[in-house]
Amino acid sequence: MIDNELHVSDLRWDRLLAGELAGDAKAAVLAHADTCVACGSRLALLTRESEAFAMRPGLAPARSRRWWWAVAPALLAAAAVVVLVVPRGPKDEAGERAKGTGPSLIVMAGPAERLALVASGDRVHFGDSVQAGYTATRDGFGAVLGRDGSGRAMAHVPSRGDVMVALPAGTSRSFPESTVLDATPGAEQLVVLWCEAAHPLHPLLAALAANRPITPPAGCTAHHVNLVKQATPR
Amino acid sequence: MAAAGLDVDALYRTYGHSVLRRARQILASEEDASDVLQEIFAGLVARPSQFDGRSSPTTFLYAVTTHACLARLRDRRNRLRLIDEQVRPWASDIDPRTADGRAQVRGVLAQLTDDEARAAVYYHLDGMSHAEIAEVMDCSPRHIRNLLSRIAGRLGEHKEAS
Repeated sequence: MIDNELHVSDLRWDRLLAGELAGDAKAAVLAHADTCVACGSRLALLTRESEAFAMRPGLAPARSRRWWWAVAPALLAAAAVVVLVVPRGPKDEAGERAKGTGPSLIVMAGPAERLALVASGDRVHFGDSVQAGYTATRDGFGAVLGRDGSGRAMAHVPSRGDVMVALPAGTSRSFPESTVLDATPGAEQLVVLWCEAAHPLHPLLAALAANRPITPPAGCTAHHVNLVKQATPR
Repeated sequence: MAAAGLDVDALYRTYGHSVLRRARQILASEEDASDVLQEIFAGLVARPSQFDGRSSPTTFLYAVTTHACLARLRDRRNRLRLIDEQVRPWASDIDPRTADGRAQVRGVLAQLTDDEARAAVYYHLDGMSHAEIAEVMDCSPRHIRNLLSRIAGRLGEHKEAS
C-alpha cells in the first residue's frame, strides 16, 4: 500500500512547479525526490507535462465562443502530454479532429485478468500487461511504441518488423498484440498510432529514443500515455 | 492575485497542465478532461471573482477541478458508462495509485456523497495527506479521517456486492 504520509503528494508537486513553494518547504520536497524513486519519477513526469503545456498557445480574448477555438490546439497538445500531435488532413488545419470522423485510441493496463483504462500519471507494475484499443470507422494501420525508464525505445506492436499492422474498422477493437512490461523502473512512455496508410516505424522510434517530439506521418492520429512503472508491491 | 486583476492567461499557462491531468485522472477520458479544462478557465474569464486570492491558485484549482469532475460523474449517463466500464471486483490491499486501483476508485466515486468523493479523489488519486486534504476541504484532519474511514466502508460494501 502507498502511505500518503510518507510521500510527496501531487498537490505539493504542483505547488513546487507553480513556484508556490520556497525555502525549507521547497528544499524538503526536492530532497525527498532525490531519495525516493517513486516521487522522483513522479516529479520528472509532472515537470515534463508542465513544460509541454506551457509552450502551447495561451488564452485569447474571451467572453465569446472564439475562446474555445483559440484554446483548442493547446488542449489537444496538452492531452498528448509530451509533444504536439495533431492529426493531419483537410479537416485538421486548426489542429482539431472533427468529432466522429477520426479514430479514438485508448490504452488499458494492469494484471492480465484485470486490465483497466489508464491515463498519464497512472502507475503500473513490472509484469503488468498493456493492451491498446481503438474505434475507427474505416480500415487503417497502427502501432504501439514505447520508451522505458532507461531511455530504450521499442515497438510493442508490431513486436517484429518495421511496418504498422492492419487495423480493420470497428468499435472497441483491440490491437492484435499486447505487451508484458519488463522490470525497468521509471517513466514508461507509450504512443499509440492509427494511420490511414502503413508507415515504417524506424523514424518514429529514432525520435522516441532521442527523446524528441514525435511527428506522426500525414493521416495519422496519435495517443500518448505516460505511465510510471515500479516494482510489484508485496 | 486579486480578482479584478486576475490574469487568466497566466493562470492557464501555469496551472492548466495540473487541471488537465487531474481531470484526466478522475474522469479517465481525454475528451471530458479537455472539456473540464475549458469549462474552468472559461468560467474564470467570465467570472474572475471566483478566485478571491484567499488560498493559493493551486489549492483553488484543485477544489474547482474536483468539483467540476465530480459533477460530471454524477451525470447519470456518464455515471452509468463509467460504472459499466470500470467497476471491478474489489481486492484487498489494493494500491489506489496503481492503474488498476485508480480505475476502481473512479468506479465508485459516483456512488459516494460529495464530501466522501472529494476526499477519495484527494487521497487516492492525488496522494494527499490527511492534513493536505483538510486544508483543501477547509475542515479538520479528524473529519478527513472519518470520511476516509467511511469511504473504506463503502468500498468494502462494493466489494461484497461485486
